[in-house]
Amino acid sequence: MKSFLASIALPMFALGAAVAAAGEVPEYTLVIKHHVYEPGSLKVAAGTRFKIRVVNEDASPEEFESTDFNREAVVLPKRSIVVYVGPLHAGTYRFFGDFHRDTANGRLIVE
Amino acid sequence: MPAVALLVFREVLEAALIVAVVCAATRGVPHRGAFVAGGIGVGAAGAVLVALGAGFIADLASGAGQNLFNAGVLLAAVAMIGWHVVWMSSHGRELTQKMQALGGAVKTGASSLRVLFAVVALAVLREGSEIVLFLYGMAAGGVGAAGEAAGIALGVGGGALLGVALYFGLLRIPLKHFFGVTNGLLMLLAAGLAATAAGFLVESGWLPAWGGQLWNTSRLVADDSLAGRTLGILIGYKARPEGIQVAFYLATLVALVALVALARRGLVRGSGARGAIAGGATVPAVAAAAVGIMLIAAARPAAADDFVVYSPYVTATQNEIEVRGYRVEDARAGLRGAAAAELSISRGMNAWWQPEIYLVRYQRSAGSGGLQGYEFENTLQLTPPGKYPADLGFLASYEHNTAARTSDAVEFGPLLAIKAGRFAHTVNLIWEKEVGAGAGRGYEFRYSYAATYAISSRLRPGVEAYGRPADRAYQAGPILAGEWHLPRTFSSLEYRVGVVLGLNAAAPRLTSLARLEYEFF
Repeated sequence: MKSFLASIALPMFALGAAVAAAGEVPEYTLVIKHHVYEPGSLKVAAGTRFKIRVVNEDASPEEFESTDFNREAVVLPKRSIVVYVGPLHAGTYRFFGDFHRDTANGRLIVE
Repeated sequence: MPAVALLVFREVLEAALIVAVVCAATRGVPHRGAFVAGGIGVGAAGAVLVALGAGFIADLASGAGQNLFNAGVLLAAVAMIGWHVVWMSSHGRELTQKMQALGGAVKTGASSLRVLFAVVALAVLREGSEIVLFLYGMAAGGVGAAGEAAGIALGVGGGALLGVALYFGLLRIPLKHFFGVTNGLLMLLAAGLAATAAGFLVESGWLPAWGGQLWNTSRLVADDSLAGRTLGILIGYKARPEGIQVAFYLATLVALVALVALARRGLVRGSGARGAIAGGATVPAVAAAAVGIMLIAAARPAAADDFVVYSPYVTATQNEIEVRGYRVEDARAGLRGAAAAELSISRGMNAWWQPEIYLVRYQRSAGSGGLQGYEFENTLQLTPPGKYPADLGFLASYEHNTAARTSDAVEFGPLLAIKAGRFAHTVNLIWEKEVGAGAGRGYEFRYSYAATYAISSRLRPGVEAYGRPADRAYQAGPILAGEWHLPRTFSSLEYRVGVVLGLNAAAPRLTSLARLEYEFF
């Protein structure tokens, strides 16, 4: 298993360093409160890479998820995560909270 | 309750489908049931531990811990499945024979069982930890215990039922083809898991997305539909894959197919710990290497090349009529509507020289198209086929371009072919130089690579890759080739169709290519 891990880890670290060196990417913030995303829609630029910081202010975990832009990440109570997204084509992309699909819904408007 | 049932169902379904395929693939191995049950038990216990330690995991690697953990679990499953597929390809035939002779259980090596155990545990662990976190939140939110229990039962039952249905469906495949089908399914499954792992690494910013989403088939089959989820696990379907996910998918698939072919020829053995680790490690290593090699980001849209991989072989007295073309799908200016088609005739003059004349060369770019002129191309076969490990040829051609603002050009370079069993690899290294009045300075280099695996002479699936460093354009994708001998004649039809995808931002997003050849003596 050691050689397997090494074969994965080394290129990953190299790539990670390369990506980190590529410069700062714009960051947007989403806050989850009472199982609702605030703001409900987020405007971002088309064709660029950006990151979304998702802050969970609730007492229960949530999963930030989107099938439209293929992301899923669990956000523990009173914590935040950062998710890299894009580059995306112009359009509207939905995201939701997988643990509270009836209330936690939002849109990414890419222009 | 419906929310609980739905979420549990979605997660259980994904794990159940993986377990079903792995169970089917280890058909005939004794004590399998105990290992599956053990795998589910260990996976479930692990899921609880992962959920409890979620905070700790999340903080690792400066916040990327969750994604790295997910990617690690998935890649471990890919390695395990890879190991099993390689092991099966060196033992599958003997297993089938024994099963046919004894009509049931046979004693086989324990390696297969360990893999079964590990893959089941990993699948349950990953999907299960999400269920645990969700249920914890539900409990904290004060949903009634009765409603929650009913929802869990419904979700687990529904997901498991579909897994069982898939398992029995697979068992209906005739024994003769059984392990071939399950092995193929496992390879696609592993490729899909690798693509999902790539997604997690992009999400954490550890990998670039490579041009973002390459295509969108969500109107056909959406990712969150039942069909989408099922196909997503079974063949790695993604409605909107990112470039790097496609690369991981293809790299894993190619690596597995290559390892299986080597195993069949006895060069790699899936049994024994050393072989297993070597087999398991090669898959992700190759995937990572492929990723590393192709890691080029650029912004300028690039022009196209011929999209053909030349063969170094010449057959004396053989005549050939060839039609080929390509079409670019990319909305960017300079690439929109680009397409080309060519008609040529050639003849093998002797055992080493085949001249070819291009009579029609049509090219369209940015909305305007027209005939480009003529080309005289020569293939020289320098070494007799099979004498050396690689067969060597040379291409030399002269292009006479008649369109306005174009100059003539010469093209030359070595053509290499390596045949290994049913595999055929071809590499072209081509330099192009404009000549005559108004010619640009310098040599423009491009290369191309094709690998095919001959299921039969009519069916040779494979991959092709094209690189044009001067344009900063790198493309690769699946192709299907084959040859059909016309009955009672000395002639045959050869075809080649495929789709190559842009691996970096500057490359055309998608190029479809086709070639048809009529050969006769």
